[in-house]
Amino acid sequence: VSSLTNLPLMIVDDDDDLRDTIADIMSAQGYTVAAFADARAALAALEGGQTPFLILLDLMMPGMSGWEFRAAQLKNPRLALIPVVVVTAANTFIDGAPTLPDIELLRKPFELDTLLALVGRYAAAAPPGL
Amino acid sequence: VSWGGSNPTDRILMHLAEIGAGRCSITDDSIVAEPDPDMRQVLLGLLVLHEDLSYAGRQRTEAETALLRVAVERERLLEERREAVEARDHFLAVAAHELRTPLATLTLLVDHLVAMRAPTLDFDPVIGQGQQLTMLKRQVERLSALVVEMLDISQITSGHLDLVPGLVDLRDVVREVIDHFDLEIQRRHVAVRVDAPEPVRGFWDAARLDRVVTNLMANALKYGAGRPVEVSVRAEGSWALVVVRDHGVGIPDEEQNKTFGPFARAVTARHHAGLGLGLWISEQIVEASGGRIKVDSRPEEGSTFTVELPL
Repeated sequence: VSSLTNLPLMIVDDDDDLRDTIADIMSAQGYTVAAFADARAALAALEGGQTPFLILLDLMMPGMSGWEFRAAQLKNPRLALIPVVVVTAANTFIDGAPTLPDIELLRKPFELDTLLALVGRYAAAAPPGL
Repeated sequence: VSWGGSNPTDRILMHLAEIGAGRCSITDDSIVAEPDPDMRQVLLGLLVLHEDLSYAGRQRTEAETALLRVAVERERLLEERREAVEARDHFLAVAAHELRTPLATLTLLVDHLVAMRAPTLDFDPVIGQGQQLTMLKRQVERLSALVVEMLDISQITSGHLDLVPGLVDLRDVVREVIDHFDLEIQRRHVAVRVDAPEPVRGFWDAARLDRVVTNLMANALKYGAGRPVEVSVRAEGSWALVVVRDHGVGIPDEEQNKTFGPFARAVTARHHAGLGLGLWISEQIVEASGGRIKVDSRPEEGSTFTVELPL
């Protein structure tokens, strides 16, 4: 795990408690966390040069939604390859999560171990030099 | 109109034609003015016939109007019912959806507390904080299970049970479920025997099958009267079988065909809490997976639930 220290992780979720909880836990795990309540601000941070190894993305957010964020990310070739995991309440016919192709879903609620294993998997596959 | 010149037969036929058309050409005056007494009797008879017919006609029209009103009312009530069911399903879906985010936060926080817990907390003289955390974790898990169940119900009732199939060994599913019941098994001092000699692999939705087996295990423990519970996993031809057998109170014959109905509970609600939807959901999941679920039960001898899944 020590080799993963300080890897940059991005969280985009408008739910304050959930976002802060994930951010705190991940910081304690040694990741460098950038957490955003607003997808537009998150996108601006990416465009400004942040290169997280993984983005944990909520879908239903006021302002820019997770889908719009993903669409904008894919339009920018420099950002398109950053992996995204959608953190969703997974009520398929309400949130339409499956309409996002090639994206892993983390269905709420999930256990700490599940979250750590998932983020760890992407961290292990992160390109060197992040 | 004057009928005076016609012969009696023609006159009667003409009156009859009028009556047949819902009109009447006979008046009290014309009867009084009729010189022939026989003809008077006929005219009187025809007048009575006309009055009877128009009375019957009015009755029929009224009855038809009433029927139409009832049909319209029935359609309105049905529509109201459809809307109410739709509103209920929508509410269920939204509620299940909205509950998941706070539950996610709660789950993470409790897990984190459990992981971070200092061993000294367990020496609390009244009730160990470690024990409290374990209970907290268990209750959050219960809440999560109920919410997941609500979501399944809303998906089933709206006809969109979205299965997520993957390669599954049924033995792993059964093992995980039994591990999960470990504490309850110990508490109830129940002997649980598992017979699963070989891997039974197929392409199924593991999380949903976990729920099916969890339901069957929960029932076996709940209604098993503390006697041994046997679980077996095996392949038979092109079917994978999971059998859960208890030796408890069993299901009365008259209740057996209702076992898989929504809100069914063989034992009265006073004795056991819960949504009463476990077996119904289980059946829906198994059938959506192309399989079947059967029960064989005798009162006071116990129940055997068999899940058959296509290999």
